[in-house]
Amino acid sequence: MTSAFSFLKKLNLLGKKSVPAKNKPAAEKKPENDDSPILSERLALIKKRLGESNDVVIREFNSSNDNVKLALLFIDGLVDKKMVNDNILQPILSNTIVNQYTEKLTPENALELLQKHITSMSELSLAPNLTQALKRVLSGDTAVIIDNEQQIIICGTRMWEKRTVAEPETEAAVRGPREGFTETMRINTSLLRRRIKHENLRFETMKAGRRTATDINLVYINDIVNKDVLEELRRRIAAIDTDAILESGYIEEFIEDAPFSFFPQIEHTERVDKAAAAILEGRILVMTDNTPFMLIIPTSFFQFIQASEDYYERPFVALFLRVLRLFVLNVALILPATYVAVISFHQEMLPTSLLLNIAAAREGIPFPAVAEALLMEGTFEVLREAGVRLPKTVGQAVSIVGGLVIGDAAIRAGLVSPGMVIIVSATAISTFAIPAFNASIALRILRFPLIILGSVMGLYGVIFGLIIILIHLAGLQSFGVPYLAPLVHGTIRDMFKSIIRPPLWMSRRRPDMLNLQQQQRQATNVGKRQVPPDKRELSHEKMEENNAGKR
Amino acid sequence: MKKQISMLLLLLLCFSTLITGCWDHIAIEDLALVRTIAIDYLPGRRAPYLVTLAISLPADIAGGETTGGGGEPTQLFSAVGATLNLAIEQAALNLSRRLFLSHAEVILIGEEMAKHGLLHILDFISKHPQARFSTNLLITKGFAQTVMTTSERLEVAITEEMIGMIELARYSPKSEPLKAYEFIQKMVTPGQDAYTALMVKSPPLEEEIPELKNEQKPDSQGESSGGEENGDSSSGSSDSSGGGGSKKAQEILTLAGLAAFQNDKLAGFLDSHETRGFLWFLGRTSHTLLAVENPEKPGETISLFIARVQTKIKPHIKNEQISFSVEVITEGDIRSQTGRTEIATPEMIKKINSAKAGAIKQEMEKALHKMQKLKVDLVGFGTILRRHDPETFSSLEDRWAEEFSKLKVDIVVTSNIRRTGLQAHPARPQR
Amino acid sequence: MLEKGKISPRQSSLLLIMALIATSILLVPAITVQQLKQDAWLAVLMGTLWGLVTLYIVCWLGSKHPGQNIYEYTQTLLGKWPGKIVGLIYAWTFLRIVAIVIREFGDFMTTSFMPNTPLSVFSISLIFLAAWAVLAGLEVLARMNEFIIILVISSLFFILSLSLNNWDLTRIQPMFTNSLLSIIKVSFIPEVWAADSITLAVIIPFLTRPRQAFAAGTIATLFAQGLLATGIIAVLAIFGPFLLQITRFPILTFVRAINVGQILSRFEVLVMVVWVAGVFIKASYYLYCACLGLAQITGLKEIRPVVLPLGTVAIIWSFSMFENIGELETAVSNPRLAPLLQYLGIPLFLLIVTWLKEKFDKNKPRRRRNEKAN
Repeated sequence: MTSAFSFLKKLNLLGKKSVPAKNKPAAEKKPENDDSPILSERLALIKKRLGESNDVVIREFNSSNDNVKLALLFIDGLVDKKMVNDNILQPILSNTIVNQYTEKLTPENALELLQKHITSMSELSLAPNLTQALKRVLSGDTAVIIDNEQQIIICGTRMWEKRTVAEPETEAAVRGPREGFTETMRINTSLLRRRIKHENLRFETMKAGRRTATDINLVYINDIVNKDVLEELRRRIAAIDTDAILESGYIEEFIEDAPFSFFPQIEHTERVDKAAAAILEGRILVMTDNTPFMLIIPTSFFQFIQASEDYYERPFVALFLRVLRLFVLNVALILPATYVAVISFHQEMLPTSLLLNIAAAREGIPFPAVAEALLMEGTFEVLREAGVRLPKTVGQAVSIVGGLVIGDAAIRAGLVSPGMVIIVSATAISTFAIPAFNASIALRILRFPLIILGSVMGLYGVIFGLIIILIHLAGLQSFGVPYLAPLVHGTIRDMFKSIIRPPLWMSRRRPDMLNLQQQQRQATNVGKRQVPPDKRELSHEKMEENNAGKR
Repeated sequence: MKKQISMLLLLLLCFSTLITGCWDHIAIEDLALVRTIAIDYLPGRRAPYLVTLAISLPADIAGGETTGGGGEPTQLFSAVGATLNLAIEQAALNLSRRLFLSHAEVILIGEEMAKHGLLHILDFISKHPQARFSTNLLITKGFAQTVMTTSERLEVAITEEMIGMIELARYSPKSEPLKAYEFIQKMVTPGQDAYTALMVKSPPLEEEIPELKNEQKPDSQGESSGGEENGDSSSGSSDSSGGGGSKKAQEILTLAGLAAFQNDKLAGFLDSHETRGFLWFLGRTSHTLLAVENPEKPGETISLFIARVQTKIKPHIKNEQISFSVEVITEGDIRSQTGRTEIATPEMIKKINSAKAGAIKQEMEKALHKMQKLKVDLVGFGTILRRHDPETFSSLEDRWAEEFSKLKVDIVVTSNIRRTGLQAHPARPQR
Repeated sequence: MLEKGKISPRQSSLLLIMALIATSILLVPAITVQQLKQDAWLAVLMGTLWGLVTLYIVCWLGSKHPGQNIYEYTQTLLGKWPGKIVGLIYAWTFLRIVAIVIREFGDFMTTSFMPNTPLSVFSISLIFLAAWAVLAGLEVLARMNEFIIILVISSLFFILSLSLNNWDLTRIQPMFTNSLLSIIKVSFIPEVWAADSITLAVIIPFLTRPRQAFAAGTIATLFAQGLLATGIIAVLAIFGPFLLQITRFPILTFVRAINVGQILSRFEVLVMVVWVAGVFIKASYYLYCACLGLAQITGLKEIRPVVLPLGTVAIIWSFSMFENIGELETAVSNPRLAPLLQYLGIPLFLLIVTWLKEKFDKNKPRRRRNEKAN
């Protein structure tokens, strides 16, 4: 009977556990009850909770006047030991530096004295109980535990080995700052602060991941950002219930609108300048600890054909590059499918001599065009993937061998026709010309069904496939912003801006599609650099005149 | 989510039904590429349509991959049938590949066929999903098939040879090849008759100039081209004779002259001289050379280049009497002369101008006369009248051919000679 | 309400443009030129006038019954069952247009591009796409249309600009040879008549700013019919009225005949692309109107259950409606009584009823209407 009862109880408990959000604080309460201010009991509890990990350092000691029993708790490798020695241990143990206070230490005033006078820490706070303290310790702070004192002093001593700020490898640029984000949140925030020195820049901290307790920062400018988007983002991040967040990709998957889509709905960047530009444009940056990749929210599709460099080069260059990328986007998606469709259905489209050449080249090829296309595209994808994963030196060798194999040998062996090789390589180059990797991979995947459709129904099949893609894209939203905006559902101004990058002094407004608090980016009448010739303040004639005067 | 998955399943279902299809799929290497269709009519037979298809073969078979775009050899296949489609289907029986008509850029029509009427051919072109609406229609004298067997001169394939000539014909008023849709357009428009260019096999130069046969010297051609600037040689083979250098006497293709149609039936031919006379009416005679006799010294010839032509045709109706006035304004310069007269003087140029205007007018009248004789309104006087005065025309519409043959046309030619070439004066010995 | 999404007046305007030009740009030139020769474009302009009349009535009705579309206010005006019958007539009309459109589309594809492919492949695949789009909702449809219309219009302008050096405007002379009566008669052919504005009666409640419906509709009608008239003038100027009379799809014929410098020739597939995209939007739009109507009349909570059945009905209807292309062409190219009633008669009747109700009992009907709207 009792066993049955306990079984029922277990069931009940299990049922409770499946409601995680409510259960979580309840689970934390239990160890808290065991927490007692007695130092020895506390240390035993700590050992019990942290286990015998060798990087956990517990240093018990007494104050120099032997009145107070204390203990230091920190994780080796996460703290600046010199700081701990010089600024915490030293003042308490020795009576040379701040002796009058150390002398006065008693168990009763220890907390206050230590806080206010003895330790020379810039960052210092109090934790109400052990659980809170442990959390801080695990992120690199040092806890000073005082015997018979419930509260625990937490000293900010975080310092660990970090990668230095380096050039972002995935988003190389010809012109623009060379700094990329690193894995350390603090460095990243500093990089952003340095770029946006405005009081309204906010770093809003959230945590996600039950076990990893990953820090997440929402970065935005308070008086620009759309509050609804911000609220929605907070809600979605708060709703994440998982044990681990190891990369911003985890967050991306948890918060994006349509998880079963080929298309990335959240842009990520490693470039600080790009992130800063996005923030200034009214978007929200989701900064995740331990990864250099920041998420930009909300995202529309056309961001993937824009590069931060567009804004550093001359407007016409940017226009040219954007048109080029748009073209390349189409090529990457439909060129092989169109080729297959045309040579197996619409031969009348080709000029006669081209048709004859293609026919001549295909003479003796054992596969139909579609098999040839799939084979070549597949080979190319394999080669690319192999090249990415291998060490750099070997990777090159692979690409050379692969190039020779699919380029030359396959033609000589009569496996594929030269026309197909040209098409596949043009497509391959096109996919590389799209700035965003995650967007280009979506197109690369979609290319295959399109090739099949093209081989079955000709160009009608290709269009059929494209319309399906379009239905999907038109239905997508990223945090309330239509994915195809501004081309769709946008203002004329936004539409122009998505292709034409206006001169900076002319682009007065932030994107309308974001519905920001302040659309105005700059005043209407400043920054106009075009001065009519007769009003130029400094002209060649004037300089000549001045020079003549000097002589 | 369920929705999307079910959609995907539906999509897969759709795919699978589609994949079983592939109805219109033809592999490119399985095509027999028809470049030219020659159509002849054999009267009195049950299957009167004789179709000859010139099929280009991909270069690889003959030349290997190194030849690339240049040459494709042509093969001819013929068959007869009760309709064109049947004849073509019959011809396809001789082939190992699927016939593909979309690249048939030239349709050659034999004389007999043209006399029988083109309705069936035009219907075929406009209905067949593969046929080109912009195919060039050419009429041959005699059988069309024999033209196809002429050996090529500059190009490798006979079709390329013909297309090259058609392209060139845009710049010289020796002929006016029409595309199928243009032909149909002219045919169906009331007050307008259709025409198209004539592709003839001209006899080798040696047969025309017997002296050449004896000499057999390639140099002698230079002399012949000098004499040719008279522009009056009736054969019209002047352009093509310059290019040939072959030793053996061969028949060569010439694109010159027009075949005039009444409704869809061949009414008669215009020779190249009359053709140019006719083309003056359309203002299509720029970039041509005109030879006039030196007004001062008969016997000397001056060749003039026509740079610009403008033609205005206006109908006049007085007391139910219809007449047309044709105003031609030409502009051009002097290219060469055979004598040593000083022609760069204003008076002289004025005289040459009037001589030129006279020559043009004569040419035009000759052409008009021929057209009226054949009762074919190639210029479209009727259409012009219709635009100008629809009611008068609609009362005449049924007997417009008769009306046209009696039509009074006033031709006024204005000639302007602007320049006399690079040198101010003819080079002449100072004696 | 069944539809949660809202579309902007601009989007509705673009939808209307697409619905107007998608089929007419290929068919109307042939139909009108056959009967009016070089005056064909006048009929289109006349048709614009009728289209604007329909549009005005529809918008007026919409403004008198805020928040309701034609399926709902017919029930308020005429009572439950008569209203439902009138609503059904409209749902039936829209579904019939879907069937005609996909039939035209299938016939076009099989005659000009893929002669060996069965008609059903095109009808089924197109309805499949349309049904998917309808399930995605009006908002998605409008967004897609914004994207597609750019392609369609720009390719049309591309084709027109290529044709410019072939234009001979004397071919559209002599003008005004046809009697006004015959022009009016031709302008009542449903395709010529810019009658697609009747669909606004369905979507007005879903506009973000319903007051601008008339402006949006007017712009759409004028633009689409202007484009159509330009297209007719273009093919007339290229081919002349007599050659056009014998062609079935003049724009296609033109593209088949065009040849730009030996490189750009035979790009009629471009016409196909435009046609597929346009027809897809038009079919989806009308299917949406029909499905919404049926769902509202039967009092369903959502549109989903009726989409696939109606799509299937449209497919079967499109097969059984016409035996051959001759029947299709006769049906499309002659003015009939039914469209006249649907596009002008019934709306006019509803307008009069509304007006009478307002006039004769001032207080009562308004309150009742409000109750029903709630």
